[in-house]
Amino acid sequence: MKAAIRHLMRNRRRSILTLCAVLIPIYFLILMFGFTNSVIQDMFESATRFDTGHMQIRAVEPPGSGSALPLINDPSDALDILAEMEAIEWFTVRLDLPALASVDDRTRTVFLRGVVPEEIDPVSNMADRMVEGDFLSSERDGVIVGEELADLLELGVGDDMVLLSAHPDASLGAIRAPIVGIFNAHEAAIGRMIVYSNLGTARRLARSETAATAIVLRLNGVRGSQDTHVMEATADALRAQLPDSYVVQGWLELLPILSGYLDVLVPMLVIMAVVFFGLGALVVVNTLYLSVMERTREIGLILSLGSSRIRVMGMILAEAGLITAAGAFYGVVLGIGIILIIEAFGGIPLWGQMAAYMREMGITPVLHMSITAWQVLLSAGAMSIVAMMAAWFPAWKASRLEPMEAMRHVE
Amino acid sequence: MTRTVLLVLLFTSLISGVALAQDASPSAQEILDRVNETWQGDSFHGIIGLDIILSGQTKSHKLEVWTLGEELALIRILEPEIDLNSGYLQLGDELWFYSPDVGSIKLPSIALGDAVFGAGPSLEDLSRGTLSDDYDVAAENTETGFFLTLIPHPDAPVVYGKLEIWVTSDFVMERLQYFDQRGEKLQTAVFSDVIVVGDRKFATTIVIEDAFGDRTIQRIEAPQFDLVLDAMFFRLETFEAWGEGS
Amino acid sequence: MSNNPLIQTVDLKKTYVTEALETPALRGVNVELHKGEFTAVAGPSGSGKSTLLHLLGGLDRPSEGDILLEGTAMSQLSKDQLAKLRLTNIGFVFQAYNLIPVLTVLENTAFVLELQGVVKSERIKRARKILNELGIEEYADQYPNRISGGQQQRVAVARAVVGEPSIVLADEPTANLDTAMSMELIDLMKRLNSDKGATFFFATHDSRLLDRVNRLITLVDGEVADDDVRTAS
Repeated sequence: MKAAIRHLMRNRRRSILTLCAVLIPIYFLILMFGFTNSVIQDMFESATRFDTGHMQIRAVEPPGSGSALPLINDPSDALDILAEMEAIEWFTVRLDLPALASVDDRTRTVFLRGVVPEEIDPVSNMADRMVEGDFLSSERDGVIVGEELADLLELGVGDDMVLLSAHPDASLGAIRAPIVGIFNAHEAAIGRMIVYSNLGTARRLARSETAATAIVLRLNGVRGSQDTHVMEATADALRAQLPDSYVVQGWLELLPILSGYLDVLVPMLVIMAVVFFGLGALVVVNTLYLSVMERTREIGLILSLGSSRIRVMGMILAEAGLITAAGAFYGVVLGIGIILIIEAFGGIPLWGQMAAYMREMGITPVLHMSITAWQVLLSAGAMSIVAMMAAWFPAWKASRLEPMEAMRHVE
Repeated sequence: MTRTVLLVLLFTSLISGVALAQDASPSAQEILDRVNETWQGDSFHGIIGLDIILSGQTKSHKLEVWTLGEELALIRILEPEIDLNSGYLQLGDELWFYSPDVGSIKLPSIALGDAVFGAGPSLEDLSRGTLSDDYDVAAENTETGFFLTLIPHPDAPVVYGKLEIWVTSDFVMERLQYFDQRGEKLQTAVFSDVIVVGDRKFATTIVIEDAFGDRTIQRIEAPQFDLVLDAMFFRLETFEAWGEGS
Repeated sequence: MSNNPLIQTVDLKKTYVTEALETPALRGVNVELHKGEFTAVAGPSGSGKSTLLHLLGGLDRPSEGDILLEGTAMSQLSKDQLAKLRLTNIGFVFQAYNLIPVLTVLENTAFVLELQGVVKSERIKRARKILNELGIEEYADQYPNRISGGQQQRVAVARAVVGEPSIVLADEPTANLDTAMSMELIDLMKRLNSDKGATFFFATHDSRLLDRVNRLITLVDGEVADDDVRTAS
C-alpha cells in the first residue's frame, strides 16, 4: 500500500486526473438525485395536499364507460370503515360531475367539483386563492369559478350560473346557483374548467342526496413518495375490508401524467449516470494504462524477482483502489456540501419558462435539493465499482508482461 | 347530454333524411332513397319509450317527439316525473335544453361531440345525421332484401369507419351495424315490430347494443307521419307554457 | 564444494525465432554449477551468455533441453512455479535498473523477503543486517535516485543475498560502473562468497571480474568452448 501511495504521488497530475474521473460522476449524480428528490417531493406535496390525497376510494369503473367518474350512490359503508382505521389521518367526500355551465346564452363545458369546504380548508390553499368574493361554505348555496371562466362567461360575483349535468348516471340534472367567489387557479386550464361548490349543491345537480365520486384520504406517517410502503400497506388493508364495488387508487395511479413523468425521470437519470460513469471509466483505464506502461521495466523487475502475477495485479488494483476511494470520498463531500449550501440559502429560485413549466406541474419554482444516505451510497458505490472494473484491464496487462522483455523495455 | 336525447336524435336524424354519396351506383342509391322514403315523412309525432340498460341497471324514460322537415325537432320528456316538461329543441344547427327549474341552456357545439350516450353514437353524429353526404354506398341482394355498405369519404368528419344496413325487400330497415376506423364493431341497431302506418311500413322497436353489452330499447307508440305542424310550435316558449301549466 | 550439482543443464538449446529468421543463441550447453562456486560465463558479444543466465534463472524457456535446479526439472514447472522458484532459490543482480524507484534502500533490500512472506520486523532486521555488512546501512532511508550507481548495485547485491538463495545470478553487474566502483562491488561479492558461501554465477566480459572467479566457462557461438576451473585471486 505504501508503494501504491508513492506511485500515485510520483505523477500527481495524472493521479488528480484519475481522481477527478471518479469524483465528477459521483458528484454529478448526487446533485441530480438532489434535484429530482426535490422535484418529486414537490410534486407529491402539490398533488396529495388536496387534489389526489395520498389515495382515493372510488367506484369500480364499468367497461366502456366514458370519461366521467362512476357514481358511488352512497359511500357511508366505506366511510364507516375509514372512521375505524388509525392509519387514516384525514378523509373527505368529493363529487365530480361533468357539466355544462351557462350564463345567458354563453355556455362552457366544465367540471363541477363538490367538496366539504370545512374539511378541505386545512389542507387545500383554495381559500387563499380567492381574488374576489368568498370561499365556499356548507351553509350557503353557491359556486366559485376561476378567473378564466369568469372572463369567458362574462360573469361576476352575484351572478347566477345554470349548470346542466353531463354525467351519464345523473342525466338531466340542472340547477341554478349564484357565483359567490372567483379564484386564481395558477393554471389557466384549471381556471377555465373547474367550478367548485359545496357537496350539497353538487348533489342537487346529481339529483341524489348521498352520491359521491371519490373519498379522498391522507395517511398518518407519510412524508413523501419514499413512504410508498406505508401507502401500499394501507391500500391493501382497505381493499381487504371494502366491498368489491370499490377500488382503491394511490396518488401516482390517479395522476398518470406525473407517473409518466416519473417513469421517464428514472431512466433519464440512469442514462446520464451511465454516460458519466462510462467517461469516468475511460479516463481511469487510460491513466492507469499509461502508468503501467511507464513502469514496464519496474514491473519486469518485480516479476523477475519472483513476484506472482496476482501480486502484480494486486499492486495496480491497490493504486486504483486508493484513487477510487479518494475520488468517491471527495465526490460525496462535494456533492453533499453543495446541497447543504444551496439549502442554507433557501434553494435557487427559478425564472422564465422553467418556472412557468414547474408551476404547470404543480411544483413551486424554487430549486431545492435533498439526498438520502442510500442515494449517496449508490452513487459512490456504483462509480467505485465501475472504476475498479476499469482498472482491471491495465492490471491484467501488467501481470501478463514477460519479465525479461519488460526489463528490456525502452520508454 | 343524455342518452335519452341522443337516442331521440338518432331517431330524428334517421327520419330527417339521408344525403346520398356523390359517386354511389344508381341501384344502391335508389335502394337508399326508398329506405328513406319508407322511414321518413315531412313531419312526425310519436311517443317514445326508452329503456337504457347499463351494467345491468335499467333506467326508463318516456318522450314525446315532434319533427318538421330536417331542421326542426322538439322533444318533451314525460317520464320520469322529475324530468317532466324538460326537453330539447333543435332549430337547424342550434340545440337547446330546457328545464322548468332553470330555464333554457344553449348547448355548445363541443357538447355535441361528447360520447355520452352509453349505448349509442355521439350527439354530434346524431345531430348531423348518420347517413349523410359523407358516405359512399354499395348494395348487394340478399335472400330477404338488400345489404347496404356505407364507407365514409377519406376526408369526411365522421367517427365511423363503416356502416352496414340490412333492409327488407320492401325497404324496411332490419339491422344497422356501426364500425370504427379500425373496423371494430361499435354497436348494432336491430329494428322490429313492424306496423303499417298509412302507405308505409314502420319498425316500432329499435334495440341498440354496444360491444360491452349495454343496450338501449326504443319503442315508438302511435306514430303519425305527414301531419300538419306549425313551425312556431318549435320554440322555447312552448316549453315555458308546459312548465307554467304543470 | 559438494559433489551434487546445484544447477545442471542438459543439452540446453535456445533459438530465437522472428518472422524473418531463426537465431540460435545456445546450441546444446551442458554445464554443472556447484554450491559455493564463484563462476563466470564469458564470451564475445552474441555468444549466448546472457541467454544462458536468463534460462538458469527461469526467466526464459529453452527451445530444447532442460535445467535441473537442486534436482527439480524447470521444464516441468509453470510460469507461476518458476516465479516461486526464483523467489526462494535464486537471487538476481542485473546490469541496470535493479531497484524499485518508489522504495527506499531498506525497502528495496527487504522486498524479496516481503515477497517470501517474512514478517515485517524480521525482514527489516535482516535487511539492515545485510546492508550493514555491505557498508551501506547509512543509506537505508534514501531513495535509489539519491545514491550513486555503485551504491545502487550494492543494494542490488544485498537484496539478492538477503533471501539466502541457492545461487545468485548476476548479468553484467559491473557494466555501468567505473573502475573503483567495479572493484568495490567485486570485492563485496567475493567476500560474500568466501565468508557466507554464497554461490555466484556471472555473465560478464569484465576482465576485472574474470580475474577473480574460480571457474570460467567460455561460450562461443552458443557452445561451451572452455570450462576452466582455477584458483582465483
